[in-house]
Amino acid sequence: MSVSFSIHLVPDLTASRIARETVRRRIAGEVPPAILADVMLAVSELVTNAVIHGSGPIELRIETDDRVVKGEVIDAGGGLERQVRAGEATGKGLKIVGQLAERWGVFQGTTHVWFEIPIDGSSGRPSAPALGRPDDGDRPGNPG
Amino acid sequence: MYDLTWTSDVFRRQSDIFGITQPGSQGSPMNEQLNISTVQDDNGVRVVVEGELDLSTAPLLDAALIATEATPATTITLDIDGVSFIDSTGLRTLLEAHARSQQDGNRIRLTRGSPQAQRLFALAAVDDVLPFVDP
Repeated sequence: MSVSFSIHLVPDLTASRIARETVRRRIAGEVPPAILADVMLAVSELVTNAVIHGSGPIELRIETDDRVVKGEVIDAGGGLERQVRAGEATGKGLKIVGQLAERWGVFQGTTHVWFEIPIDGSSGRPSAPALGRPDDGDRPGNPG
Repeated sequence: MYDLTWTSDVFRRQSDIFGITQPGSQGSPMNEQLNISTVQDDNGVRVVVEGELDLSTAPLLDAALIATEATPATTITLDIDGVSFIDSTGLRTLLEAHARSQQDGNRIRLTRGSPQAQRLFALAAVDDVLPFVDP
């Protein structure tokens, strides 16, 4: 089984809660409870960052397959790329995402953060962010 | 003892600050995502928190704690075992309360919270920082 969905969120105080509840409703039957909890935490951190630091509507995309849950959070902000490149991605929320995810990163030139959390729970070490997703041919359009 | 009426009042003030409306509103305190009950116990005051602690609700806890800290309570036990979800925004409220406590008699203690909360504390490397009550 696999699940793939995308939702658009109004960037207000309730956005992270709506995002979490949507994730729970859509993938609770697909992944173990501990993985669901990690995905909800990662989503909450990224949507909260988008509400506080981003601009415009927020898009959340989630895709599961047999191996991983992939998440993306996108807003119309100026982009986190510079901070990531300079090693300044020290926000608590991004640090948490880096620890939850096996891989994560930021598409160049955008505020478009992605992460992958393996369903078998094999993540758990801090991972450094990547710029873009170099090994993934079918990645979403890169506006940068 | 403030109980749920308190939560509702705090929420109304936060609603004003953030310009959001409280659904259902008057006389029905159960529609918030966070319930905070402040009760006297033998050792001081116990602040019992239930619900989700995130960007929308952390200011409620912050306000309740600051109000409790203004009382002469000798200990303030923050019972977060009923918090079903917490993220780094919620965690910041706990860390700030601890920081204030260290400057003001070290009165605050926390329960250890749910497995989800404990996972966040471990990921954020604050499980040795926050002043947990002995299990």
